Amino acid sequence: MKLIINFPCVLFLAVVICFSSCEQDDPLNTEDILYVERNGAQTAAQIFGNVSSKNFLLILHGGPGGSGITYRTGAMINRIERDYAVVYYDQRGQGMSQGHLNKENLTTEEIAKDIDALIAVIRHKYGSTSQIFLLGHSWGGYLGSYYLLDEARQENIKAWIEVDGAHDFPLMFAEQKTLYDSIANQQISRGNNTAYWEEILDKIAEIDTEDLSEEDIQYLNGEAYIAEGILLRDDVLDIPSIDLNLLKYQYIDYNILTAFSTGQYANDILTDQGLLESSLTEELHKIKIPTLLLWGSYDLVVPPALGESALENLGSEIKSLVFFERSGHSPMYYEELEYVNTLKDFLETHK
Amino acid sequence: MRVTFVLFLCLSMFSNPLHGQYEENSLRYGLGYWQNHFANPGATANAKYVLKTYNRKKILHLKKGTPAVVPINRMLTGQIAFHYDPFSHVFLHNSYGIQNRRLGKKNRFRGLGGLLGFSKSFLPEVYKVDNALNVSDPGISGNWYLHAGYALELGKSFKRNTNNAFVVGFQNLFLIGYNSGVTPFLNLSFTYEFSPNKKEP
Repeated sequence: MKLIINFPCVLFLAVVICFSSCEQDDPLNTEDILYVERNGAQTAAQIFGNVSSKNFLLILHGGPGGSGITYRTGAMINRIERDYAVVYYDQRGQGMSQGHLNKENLTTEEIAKDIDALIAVIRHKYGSTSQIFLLGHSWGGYLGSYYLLDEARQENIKAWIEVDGAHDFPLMFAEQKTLYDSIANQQISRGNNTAYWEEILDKIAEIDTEDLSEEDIQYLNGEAYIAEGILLRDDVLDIPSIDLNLLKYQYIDYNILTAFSTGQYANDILTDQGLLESSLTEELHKIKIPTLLLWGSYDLVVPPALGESALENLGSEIKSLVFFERSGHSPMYYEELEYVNTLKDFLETHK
Repeated sequence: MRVTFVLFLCLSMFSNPLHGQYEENSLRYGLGYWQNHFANPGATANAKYVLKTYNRKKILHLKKGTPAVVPINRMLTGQIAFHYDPFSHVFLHNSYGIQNRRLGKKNRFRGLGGLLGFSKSFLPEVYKVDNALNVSDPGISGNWYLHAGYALELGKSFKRNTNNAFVVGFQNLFLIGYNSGVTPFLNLSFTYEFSPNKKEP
């Protein structure tokens, strides 16, 4: 019975130990987890690296339904976090963020307001002179572009990096069909998996991008990842290195089941709000800050044509587009070192 | 939270020490290690109140002409548990349910039950930000969630003292209203189970 009576004390001690161990004080090698609470959600930000640099790279993950920490590869730790603080952010309703959400408070605009709040918290905690670089991958590319359309928000951001970003969904679907066609013909001419690529050509021919059904959209996206696997096996894409850091964060330190499950609901709600019909291309001229566009040449999910379109339409005076010739949708994994080196050069130039 | 905690304590206090193990109206306690998603450590304390004891005939044995009787205990369960994710949060769970425990040979048993209860998350270093982007000082915040789930357990009583047992449990809780839907939590527990009842001679 004594044990039962003492149980609350043990519980209290464990909670105190846990909370006191969540923060590391070394400013050159910080490991912070903090939450930003506003409008029904506590969004999680894991901050690693050199916070004394006052330069923060804020990463907007893909999905919707992804999570920030999946971008913490070994190259990010060794090449970026040494000189910059990296904010691996979980958007509301996704990753390790918590709250009680519904269609009213889980919208793109609410997530954009969360980014404002997160930047305010970073400057509150680490100093008002902290500079923010914004990086968005895939859905994060759409979100970052959406965020930066507001000129007042651009004042918060030093520079913008869009990685395979889906800022124009109708263009994305149209270009997916074109790219499937082009890659399939290229692979057939090389004699790589001809049966598979001929089947792709047959199926693609049946899709009318002017009148896409839900099944067409699912096919175009779902098949893109399968096709990347085929390209990987045929040595067209670089093999992503097995990154122990990434495995540790994704499968041990992180509640992958919770993140996956909660992300699916968020994805459904956000896509039901007309996301797949949304195009920001006509408004990209409002973005004036320095921008770097990074794209995998074999990205069948968000084809490189979107990068070219962004380069043409952005209002920034300083803008460039870099292709990763042996990458699919996520060059940060396929060509990890080249990706990180390009990113670092850009950060160094604009910090 | 207060109400459920008081219920838990009440359940823990009203034991009937007159009967031995698995007698009706007897009470058993468990204390042990709890693990969420196979990675996040924690602890659990539970109490099981035996509502009913009955026997069920095993059909397979009846066909063979050697009917076997399987003793089953129906128990009311109360549990309080916590786990912490070293990177982010602490969760406290308080569940109540009904469990059928089927007693087997060699002091082994297995159980299956349903659970209902509450979960509370505690998030460290939470900054509240208002519409004017004013940032509060950091504090602890969190959310309440209802949960429902099921529990499986395998156990073995000790030879010399059959009142005590070692139990391995698996629980699948579904947190309702977590963000915009339901999220599953997988939990493992390793508990030492004991009864305050004295063994009858």
